[in-house]
Amino acid sequence: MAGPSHGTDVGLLAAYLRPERARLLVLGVVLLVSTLAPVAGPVLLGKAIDAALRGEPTADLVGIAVIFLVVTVGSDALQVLVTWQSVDLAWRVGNHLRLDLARHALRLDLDWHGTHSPGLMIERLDGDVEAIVEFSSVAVLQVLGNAILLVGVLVVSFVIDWRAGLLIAGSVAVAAYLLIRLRSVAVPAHDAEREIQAQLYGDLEERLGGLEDLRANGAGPYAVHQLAHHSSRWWHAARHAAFLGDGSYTAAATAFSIGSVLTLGVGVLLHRDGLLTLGSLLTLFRFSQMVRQPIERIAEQMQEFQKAAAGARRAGRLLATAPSLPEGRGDPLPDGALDVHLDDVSFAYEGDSDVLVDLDLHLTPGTTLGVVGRTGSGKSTLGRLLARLWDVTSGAVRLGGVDVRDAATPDLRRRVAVVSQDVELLRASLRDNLTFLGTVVASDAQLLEALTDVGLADWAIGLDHGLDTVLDGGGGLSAGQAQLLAFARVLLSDPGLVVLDEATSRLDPDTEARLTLAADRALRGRTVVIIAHRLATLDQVDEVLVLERGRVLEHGRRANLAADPTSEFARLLAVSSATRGALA
Amino acid sequence: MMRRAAPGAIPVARQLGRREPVAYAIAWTSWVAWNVMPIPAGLLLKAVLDRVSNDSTSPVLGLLVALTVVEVGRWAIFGFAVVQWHGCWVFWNTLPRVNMLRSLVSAPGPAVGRLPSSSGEAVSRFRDDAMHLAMVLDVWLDMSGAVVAGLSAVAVMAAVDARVTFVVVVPVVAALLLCRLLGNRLRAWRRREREATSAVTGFIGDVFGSIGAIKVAGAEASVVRRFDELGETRAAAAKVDQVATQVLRTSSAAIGNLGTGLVVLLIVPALAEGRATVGDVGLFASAVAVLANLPRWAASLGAHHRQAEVSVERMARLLPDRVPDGVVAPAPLQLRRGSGTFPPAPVTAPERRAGDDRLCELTVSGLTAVHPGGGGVFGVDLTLVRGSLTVVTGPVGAGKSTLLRALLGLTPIDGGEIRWNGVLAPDPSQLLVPPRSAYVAQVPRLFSEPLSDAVLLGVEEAGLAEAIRLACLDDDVAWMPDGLGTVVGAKGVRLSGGQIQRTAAARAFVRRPELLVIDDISSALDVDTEARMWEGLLDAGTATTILVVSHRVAVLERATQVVVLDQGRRTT
Repeated sequence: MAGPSHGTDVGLLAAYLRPERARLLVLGVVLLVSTLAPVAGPVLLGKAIDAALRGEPTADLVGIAVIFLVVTVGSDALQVLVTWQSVDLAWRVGNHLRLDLARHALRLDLDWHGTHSPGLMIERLDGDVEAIVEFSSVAVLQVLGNAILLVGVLVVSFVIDWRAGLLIAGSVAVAAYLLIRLRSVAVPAHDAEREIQAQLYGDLEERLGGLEDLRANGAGPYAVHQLAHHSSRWWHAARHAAFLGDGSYTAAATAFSIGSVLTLGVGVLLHRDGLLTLGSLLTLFRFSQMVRQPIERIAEQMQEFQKAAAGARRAGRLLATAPSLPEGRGDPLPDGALDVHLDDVSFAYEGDSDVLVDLDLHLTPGTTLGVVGRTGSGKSTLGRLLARLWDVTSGAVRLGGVDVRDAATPDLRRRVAVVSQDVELLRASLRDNLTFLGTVVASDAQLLEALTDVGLADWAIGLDHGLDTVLDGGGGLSAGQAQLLAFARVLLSDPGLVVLDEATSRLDPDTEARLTLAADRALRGRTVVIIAHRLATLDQVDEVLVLERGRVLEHGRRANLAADPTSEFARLLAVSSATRGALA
Repeated sequence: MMRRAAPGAIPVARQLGRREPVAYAIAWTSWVAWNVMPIPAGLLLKAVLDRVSNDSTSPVLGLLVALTVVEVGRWAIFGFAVVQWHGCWVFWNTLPRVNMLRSLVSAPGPAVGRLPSSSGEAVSRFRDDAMHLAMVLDVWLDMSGAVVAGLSAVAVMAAVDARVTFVVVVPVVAALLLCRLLGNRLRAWRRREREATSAVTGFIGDVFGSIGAIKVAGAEASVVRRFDELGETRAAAAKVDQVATQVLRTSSAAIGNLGTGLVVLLIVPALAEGRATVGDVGLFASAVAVLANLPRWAASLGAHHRQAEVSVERMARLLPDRVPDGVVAPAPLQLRRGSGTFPPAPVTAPERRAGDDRLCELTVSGLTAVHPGGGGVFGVDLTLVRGSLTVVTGPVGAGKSTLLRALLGLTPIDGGEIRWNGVLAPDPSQLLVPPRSAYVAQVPRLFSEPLSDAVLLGVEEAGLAEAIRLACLDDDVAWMPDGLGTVVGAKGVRLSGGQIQRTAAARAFVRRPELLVIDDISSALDVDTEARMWEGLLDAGTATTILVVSHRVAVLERATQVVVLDQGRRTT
């Protein structure tokens, strides 16, 4: 499900507010009443003074004072109602936006994520949206309410005396002009400040995630120094942004103050000509000060608006980043083991030279293929293309006769499993880790069966809360155990193609042998691609592919290659067994 | 009032303010001046109105000019104050952050358990909690301005009419009491909101930290569903918190309005009787507007104090002794140095080491380190002689990594002792660091920086090329688009598992440690590369002593001693 469509930064917010029209309308009406009520204050004050100077009875004066109290305090009560409604609205809209951003970011490829650290994502998905929410809950209401107040005051001023009204309106116009003209100057400065903050937090998140690496290698002072450096950049950026952003506010407020003194002067002249009562003079002066307050408030929220605009712009940019892997038209992959066709496949990471060149490969369903080659030969890339983590630069990858680009992603993910050497555990329960937060539907019995198959049943049963135990990072779970857990995940998802990307590299030979037994059972009836450094891992495979610098050096039945003394595979076997023999 | 065991937010904030006293004094003076200036403006207004109502011909131009000067001067002060304040703001946010990070990366004691939760969650302590403490200093500025201006307003009003002044002050006191009354409940709501927020940021950090696994598993929809649930919980908590805060703020404002109403009620009849002037009414109206600010700030003062109390606790949690004072300890920051002139990272030269740092013999006796969830190592004895290669091996879960991590002081030790050249090391985390030792983790973390920085991390550049060569990373560097300047990612998406491990190896080698501790480096290396690495390492004598976890034959056959672990105990 895609988010609402949008064009500009303001358009983004508008698109998210559109479904809330009815609520906004009700909110607007309450807001109108609660903000217009205070306009009565200075009018009543002026009336009271004129009535007192005319010598009217005290009871009438008290009556005016009581009306004053009821109106102002009543409008305060309405203000609470407005807040309640707007906060509710803002959180709904904000969470909607967060969800759309998360959904979209999850679709972007690993290249993109490689340049966007988790810390940066927190800033994008939460910090920026927070600014947008802050704006749409507090700032929009402040701006809207104060704009209404402004109009109300101006209208009443004109009714009292058109000349004074004109003067007040004039100062509002000058102040507003200054605000609008100077505001746009400040936006890039606020952008720059937020960008520096995002870098600061992104950097910090990485350092915090690598505390052990930092401590044991004495790199703590370096990390602290980098934080101080980022902060110093922030110091300069914040002051610069304040100078430009609040400069506009200051200029407008100054213009306003001058206008308010002029109003007083004109009021004095009008009074001396007998055109204005003293009470009305005070009312108008209070008004000229009251219009300053809405301008102050609106200006105060300018910063929020600038933050929100910058946040919305970045959110818009994120939503506009097209996933490099377009969604397929949804051709279904066949059931059971998948056959694998690589037709003339070439691949290069963006901006780099080719990693794989003109690769042709065919595996019949149920074949087990071992892939060997030096580091950088393209072994891992081959695995990633099979799982469509990237798309080929040219050629095609077909599984069960279906081009992976035509398959629906959820179908593909279900039918192709990848186990890599870096098992990433979520800070969630064991159950959530096995089912990936419920992506795979499995009963407790099935979960325990899978754990038993990989030899983790004893460990799991020993946990304090069983399947509900929260796995906290690596705590208590060795890298080898984590890898066993990854195999249990594969068993549960029942795929037709399994890619083992150096999956057993962290296991000691004993454990690996134990796992191989379980794996033999679990991988039977599936097509398997094993990418390995250790040749011992490949004792049981049907076929072997040797890659070098992205090209096929040799491919054939394992038995044939092993028997051919001129083959590279035979040479590697010889090196491997020589070292083994030396130990024995 | 309840007595608190630990110092709350106020003394901590006070210390933070004192770290830059001049800057705080400037900020304080300019904000107070800005707040107080409406009072002289009110007095000038009274003079104008009185002159106009008494005598319709006497000139008012001089008074109006004076009023203009006061008003324009006020905004000039504001423009200056706001830029200066932003500098203070960055300082207040930065000092606690630097202290927290410094403590996390270098304070004595094990690394395990330093972060209460994920690194993403910890970021919220650096971002939000530091900000909440800074907010206290900020709100003190506002409060100071409001108090000084409020007192001036009371003085000016009392000079005109003491009785009316008293009546106006009563609602202000009522507002302060109300603020106290709602206090505890607000605090509980605020805490719940913070926890829900941490859960959300922690989840984002975790998910995008494991993005590869999530993509491969096709778990995107499940992630979004969980994110939605966490967001709903948080929205519910935040709504309660925000509305409650607004109720408090509005009720204060309402009490301010009440005061204005009372002025109208009391002073206007006096005007009719000729006991007051129109100027008095104008002055009172201005002064009450100033005074009405006071309860509003007082309310937010209480709210900010309570919020900061939670935040100070959360920040102190990251310090080993958990004493809040450490959060605001003095630290040299040099914020005024910009990007171009900021001093380079302090460089440590690996060669410079005292005689005691030289390793002759490291003895480990009866080392026990138990995982909370079971497992660990029990009573392990081990002696590493200078120049030896010790290989630790054994099945999965035997405690191999735990042994290394306990030795390095990364995980807590439950028994046994470690002696460096016969001298007892009470805290291995302080002893076993460069130049004495360096470490290659089983799953190393690289940081997003140019490759050269990721390797050096503050060590002098002289040994870089040699370390890269020893780690067999030179071929890879030659293939990279910008060579050593290539930026490598947090998860090293562009780097293969082997490249990440070899980069981490280079990171340890470049430190030229006496003792090199390597946790299973060979898992992502092919046979040829690994053989090359060991040959280079042993021949070059970069580290005179090596402790390594490995199953590889190539390593085992070069070993001086082999340590076999099984279920946490040494079998040979």
